[in-house]
Amino acid sequence: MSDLDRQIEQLRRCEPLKESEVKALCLKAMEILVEESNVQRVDAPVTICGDIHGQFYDMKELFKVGGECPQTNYLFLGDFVDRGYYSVETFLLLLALKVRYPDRITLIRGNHESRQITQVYGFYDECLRKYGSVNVWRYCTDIFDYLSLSALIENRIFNVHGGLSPNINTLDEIRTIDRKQEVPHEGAMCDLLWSDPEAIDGWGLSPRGAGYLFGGSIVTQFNHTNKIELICRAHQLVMEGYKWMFNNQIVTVWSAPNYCYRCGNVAAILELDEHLTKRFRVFEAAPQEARGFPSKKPAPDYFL
Amino acid sequence: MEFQRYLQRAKVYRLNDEGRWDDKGTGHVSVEYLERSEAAGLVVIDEDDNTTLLVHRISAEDIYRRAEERIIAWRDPEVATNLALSFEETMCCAFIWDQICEVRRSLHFPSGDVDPRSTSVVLEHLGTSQGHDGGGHEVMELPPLELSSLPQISKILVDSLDREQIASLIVKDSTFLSKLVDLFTMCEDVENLDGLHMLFKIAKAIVSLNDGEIFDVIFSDKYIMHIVGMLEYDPDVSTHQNHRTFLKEQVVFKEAVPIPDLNLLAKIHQTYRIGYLKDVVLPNVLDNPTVTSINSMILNNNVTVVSGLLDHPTFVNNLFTELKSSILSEEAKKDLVHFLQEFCSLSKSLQLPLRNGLFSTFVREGLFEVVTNLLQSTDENLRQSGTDILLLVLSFDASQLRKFLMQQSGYTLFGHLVTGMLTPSQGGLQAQLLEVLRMLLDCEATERTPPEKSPFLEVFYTRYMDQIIEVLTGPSTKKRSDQDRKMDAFLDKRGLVSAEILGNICELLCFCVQHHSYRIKYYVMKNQVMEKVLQLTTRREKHLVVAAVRFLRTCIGRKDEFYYRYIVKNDLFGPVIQAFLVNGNRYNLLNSAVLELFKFIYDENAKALIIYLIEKYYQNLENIQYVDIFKKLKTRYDQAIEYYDQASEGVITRAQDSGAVGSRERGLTPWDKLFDYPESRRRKDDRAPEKEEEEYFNEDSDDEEDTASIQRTISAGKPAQAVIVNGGPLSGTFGLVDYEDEDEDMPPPVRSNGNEDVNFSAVASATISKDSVWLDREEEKIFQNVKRKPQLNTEIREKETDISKRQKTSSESSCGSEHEVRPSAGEPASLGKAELESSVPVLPAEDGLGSGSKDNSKESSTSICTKSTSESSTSSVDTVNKGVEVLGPLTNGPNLVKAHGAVGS
Repeated sequence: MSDLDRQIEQLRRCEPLKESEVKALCLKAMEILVEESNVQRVDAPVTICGDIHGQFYDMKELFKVGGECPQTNYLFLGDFVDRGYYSVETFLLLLALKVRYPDRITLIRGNHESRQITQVYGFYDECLRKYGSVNVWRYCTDIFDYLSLSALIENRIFNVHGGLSPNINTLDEIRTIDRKQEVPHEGAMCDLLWSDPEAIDGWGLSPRGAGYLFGGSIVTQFNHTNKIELICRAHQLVMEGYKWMFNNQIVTVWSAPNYCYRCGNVAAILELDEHLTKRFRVFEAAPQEARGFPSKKPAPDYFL
Repeated sequence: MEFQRYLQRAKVYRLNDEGRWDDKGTGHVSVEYLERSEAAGLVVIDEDDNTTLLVHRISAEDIYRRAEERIIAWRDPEVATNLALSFEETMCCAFIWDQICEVRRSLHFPSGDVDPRSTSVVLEHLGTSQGHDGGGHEVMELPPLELSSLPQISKILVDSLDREQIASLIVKDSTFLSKLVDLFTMCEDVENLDGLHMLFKIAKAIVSLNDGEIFDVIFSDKYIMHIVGMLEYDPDVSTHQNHRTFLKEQVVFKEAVPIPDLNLLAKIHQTYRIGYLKDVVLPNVLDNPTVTSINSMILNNNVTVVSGLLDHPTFVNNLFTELKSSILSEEAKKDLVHFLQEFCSLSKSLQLPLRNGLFSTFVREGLFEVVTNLLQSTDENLRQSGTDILLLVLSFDASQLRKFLMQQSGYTLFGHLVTGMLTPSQGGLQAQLLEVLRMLLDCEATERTPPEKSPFLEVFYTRYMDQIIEVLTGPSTKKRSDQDRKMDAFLDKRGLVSAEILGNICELLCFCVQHHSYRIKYYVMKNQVMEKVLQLTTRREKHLVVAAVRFLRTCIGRKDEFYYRYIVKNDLFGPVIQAFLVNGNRYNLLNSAVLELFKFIYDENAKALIIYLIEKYYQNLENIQYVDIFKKLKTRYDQAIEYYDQASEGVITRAQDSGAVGSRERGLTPWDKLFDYPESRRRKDDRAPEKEEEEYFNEDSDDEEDTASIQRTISAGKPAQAVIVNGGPLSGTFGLVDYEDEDEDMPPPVRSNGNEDVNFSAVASATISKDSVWLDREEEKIFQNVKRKPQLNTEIREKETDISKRQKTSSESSCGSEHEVRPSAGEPASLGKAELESSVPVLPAEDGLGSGSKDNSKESSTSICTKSTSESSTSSVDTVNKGVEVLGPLTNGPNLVKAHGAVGS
């Protein structure tokens, strides 16, 4: 068994890797991710997953429902970290799978894959608590910069974490973004990760303070221009796990059941077969039994 | 889960005396806790007028019947009538029926075999929907605490709306908690699991009361372990959690230095246990206000401990004497260092004056000497701890460390910081040290003097920059000199500088270019830093190729004609274009990074670069079809040609009047105009720029001249050395001028040999930059930077706002709609700062959607987002507007004419 396979087994048990292992893993991942495009091409069949947010045991449920990687091909739409208690294990497992099966799993960037956001919403603190230093956070956030921004399935389904941008009319325009940077405060890259569809006319201001709201006509226009039939995105909690909008031109997929361990929502993943036939698989949070002990444990030695 | 959100709709019927069912109205049914009767009951609220249609205390007796899936009927013994609920939905009926059954089962508790889970489900439901039985009924006293009354007490605690009142009852009853502990001990002895599950709920409820007085008691030494014990018996988790075992046996309190005060010692233990309780025992349970209260308790404890130890007459001194002692065992040293590290990291949560006191005291006692020692350790963990301590100090105040580094004899620590960053290691030391250096070098944010004048930077650039650049170029493959053997420490097993370190160097250089305008500029040009960085484009690791491109992009991003000219003169796009072409049609990060670079040049309308790129490389690029950026650049170029043709004719007319200079202007390419080719190499009818350019670049006769001018300009003058890039020697020269003497209106000095190398820059700076004196413009920039300082996210501000920010965000994590608001530019996030600043967005100049109107909307958008974080509403529009000087095609034409005319005349 290779080191990597052993690490994957370990991570599947929700046991974090050693700091030096994380460093080596991130270096390998960097070499793979740097070769990916801003609009990464993905072949069907593939299963699309929305936000995970460090809910490791719920992600295990996801794999139970959707099948383990590499038996099932996966596309994750970002927001792997923050909020949940196991951002480290969650992201590292996905990253290790990416390094092990680069063609079987695609990870694109969410708005939480950012230095600034993770310092506020938990990933930074989690790394500090679990490793006693923020080095692991540094390695991971450096890798975030390399994650692709979007994916295109069989030239027909466009996948992105947030949504559209007024600066982007064609998929080709995404090409000229140098994505290796912290998520900026505005501009095309920011919008792709932050925007939301909303029942409005045209573009609107986003209450999030970044990205835009965009209406049905924008989606119609975008899909027409780029000859795609569907936009698939995540980014917003939907109680039923998925939500169609604008006459089935855009769908939100949300894969963190009982979000923040208290929202009471179910989660979904979208399975596409080789003909792009869609099937949503809805699942609930892992039972308390399966969760085990919260691994927020502080270091067993203390001085002060 | 669903049912909680939808009210159960049903009709209420009562059997009248004639034996018929009267319709009493339609309403919403729920199972509630009736405070009046201290029991669970069925409540029906009229859907029209919200009056109570029915209140029925659920009886333990078996009186309920379910019929036809939708009807629940019973005979109420209290009012001696038959009642029935006819539900609209079968599911709702089933749900209510289940609840009734569960309540009845719980009423039999503790006598029977109750499934504790279902009880808790009932209680949870009761907890979520209170208040229909009139409300306002206060619980006047708690029932006497006995095993049999535990369910009742648990209900009261869980259901109560008035937490304060319950809390006061518990506080008033001085024996309550001790009795509770007695019951717990008893239940545990006889393994009464039901009782223990009840006690879990009670303990959980007591913590959730979020009462300061109660916290003081239950977190005291006397009670805390018992409370933790009760919380081990979560009925929802089948495996028993051994928190107490962990706390008593696994946790080791390491008293590296004897804590002089028993009270402080107790606080230290308490803090750890409270933290454990919050993070491990009850993470899912506590609501945000309770977490906030607990956090502030921890904070207060930390303050007490830190000030207690700092105020102690000998403690800190002893600590540092120990740390400096040379007779320490490895183990003792490690413990002491970790103690120091924890002590310093507590500073993050302290108020400014206390933090100030802490670090001043430590620095006075020799903190930096200790760290100097640590960084020389062979143990990487100790080196990391030392670096971590520096980061903690720096996040508070960089000037103290800067001062120390400058004063220490032999610059020992400074040297270790730099070599540490350049030496490969298993761990995260290099990344940490990169961060340390970045914070130290970020002089703008913390010092009043312009960064250029900072003596700290002087030392860095003169003593250490060379060393960094040396590692960048790596060992020479031919003769191994002593110099090379010194390099060995920085090499990996393959004899190469590791990719990680090279990447870090690129980042550091980008940082310097962004933050130290002149000093780095002189340095870059004098030492061919760009050429050296661009050598990385031949590395196998694609991310290093991209890093090299990014360095070029960062220099160009300064929008400084000096960099432009230097790039053009030395053909620095050569390696980039080479790497780009080798990469072929692969759509990867390198492809995007290079395209973005071209797009930036286009958007900025950087004419010097556009002309250079098109004339030299268009033939290699014109076949690339998947983007239109090259076509667009070509169009710009063509427009420029056209313009210059016209312009130069105008100039000639005017210039002819004034004689000699004008006659030379005829037949120049735009290229000549910008860079004023030396007369000797110009042929009037030669319109083939490539050829001329070739000659120009192959010509190195003016090297000496240039070097001389460099030495005139740069006091640190060390002759520039040629480097080998792409196999050919490049002259390491650039046309620097003595700017203090430079004047826009001065005609270029004409040299006897006709070689106008100096004017290479003079003309261009006069033509393209509007500023008459370049130096002034630079100064202005510096002061602008200083003025802009409040907008920058300085480290200090971050740490100050840290706690409040986190509390705020944690208490607002309303997740009903995932409306987290992005912390905006105004909000501190130092660590991403460099990246953020480098990413000033660029809007395409001719993109209707992207321009002005959007910026406006953005401004209002950020001020609107009051939804949850008002603090996040400061906008980054200012910086953006500054950053995006989008020039339309040739809008600066008139300036060119004027400037050019001026030169010509």
